[in-house]
Amino acid sequence: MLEQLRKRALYSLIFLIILGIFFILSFMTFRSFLVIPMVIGVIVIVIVYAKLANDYRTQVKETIVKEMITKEFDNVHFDIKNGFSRDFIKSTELISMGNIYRSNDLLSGSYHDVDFKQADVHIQQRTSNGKTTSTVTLFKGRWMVYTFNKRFTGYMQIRSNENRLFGNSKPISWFGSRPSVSRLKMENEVFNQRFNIYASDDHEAYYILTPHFMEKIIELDDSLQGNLVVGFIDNELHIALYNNQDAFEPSIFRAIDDEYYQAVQADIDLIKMVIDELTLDVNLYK
Amino acid sequence: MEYIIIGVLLLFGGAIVTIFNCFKSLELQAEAALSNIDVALSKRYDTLTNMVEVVKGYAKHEKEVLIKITEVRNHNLAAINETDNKQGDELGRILALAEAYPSLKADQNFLHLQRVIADVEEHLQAARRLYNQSVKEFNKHLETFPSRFVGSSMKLTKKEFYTASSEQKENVKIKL
Repeated sequence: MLEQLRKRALYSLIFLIILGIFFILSFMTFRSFLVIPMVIGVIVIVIVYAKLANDYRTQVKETIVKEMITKEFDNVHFDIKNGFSRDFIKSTELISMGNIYRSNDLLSGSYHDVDFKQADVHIQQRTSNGKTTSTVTLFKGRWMVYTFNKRFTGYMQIRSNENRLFGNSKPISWFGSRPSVSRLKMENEVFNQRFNIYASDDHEAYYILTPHFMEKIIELDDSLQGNLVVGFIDNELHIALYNNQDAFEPSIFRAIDDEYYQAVQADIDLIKMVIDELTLDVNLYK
Repeated sequence: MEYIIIGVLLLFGGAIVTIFNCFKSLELQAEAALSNIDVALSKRYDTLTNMVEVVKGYAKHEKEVLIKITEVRNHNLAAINETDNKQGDELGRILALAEAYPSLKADQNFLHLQRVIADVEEHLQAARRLYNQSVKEFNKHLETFPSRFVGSSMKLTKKEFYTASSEQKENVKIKL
């Protein structure tokens, strides 16, 4: 059933490419009379392909992915069509918001009694000068939110030094609704070299960032591909991973195989790894 | 020529003011951290006193129960450091005593106090680290060019680090 759906989507894409090539050749040869039916044909096939590909991805997530995540987590809720709201992401003041926002695959659940939420987030900035339009991707990747095991009232951001999208790794807004932050140095030199830390309260930053916690963030950064921004906001830990990838996303170019199962498992393991490695399940402080 | 001299003087003056502010800011940061240590020690004193009361209910006949918890009386570095170390030892004795009474370990009140003390220890550790980091930066500026000249003209001297005893560091590992 899934394979049939995938093949239909794939065939429609191949047909679309052939039609596209034929359209260009015929336009160059005959010019006018074939153009209109060709354009209509291309539009129809694009719509058919988009629907088939979307149906296939939805089916894979509804069946295979849902079954796998239900085995690993408690209180699972998986909403493929929706994600984090734009206002929610904006309120964190962790990244530039641009003018195009998309988010889907909202997964929530709990692991070792730690509640978490995660979704794919895609943010772009489209600018036009009247003649040309350019689109720049500001963020594409996973956004994970965990209930934090220590109480705090301040606001803190940990930004990767190499972060190309976060404007030289400085906080997005110095004048936002959040408390004002200042740059802080920790006693761990490797951590200081790799990250910029901005906190509203120095003591609270040291309270959250224990030597063990800093080591684990460095290890997490080593194990992940992409840029990392970590936020401690309203008693929650936010991890924004810009890796240009969507979690749990199947490709229509290959059938569901062991490699896909491994990729889904890796996406699941990342959620667990954050909780295990950062010992978010240690409930000593509440 | 005058403009160049004025420019150089302004640059020189600006640099001195910046270094002066840096020293002041590090001093304030260290003072705030020391004050946070003080606050955490007061909270630790209250929690330990409550823990002793709970322990007394289970171990009435034990001499060791009569633990007198050390209170912060002076607020200078040496006194705070000494109180910190003494309280650390007292916490260790209470936890060791609790080990001998399984029913005490299961007491909800005692469990709650253990959670509180675990959080207090984290705050204490954070304040100690922040204090030492501020002192490290302060002392580094006193030793390096050009801030050492500003520091010596301000008659600033190196600050002492905060040291916690090794036994106390062990006591931080509270298990429930």
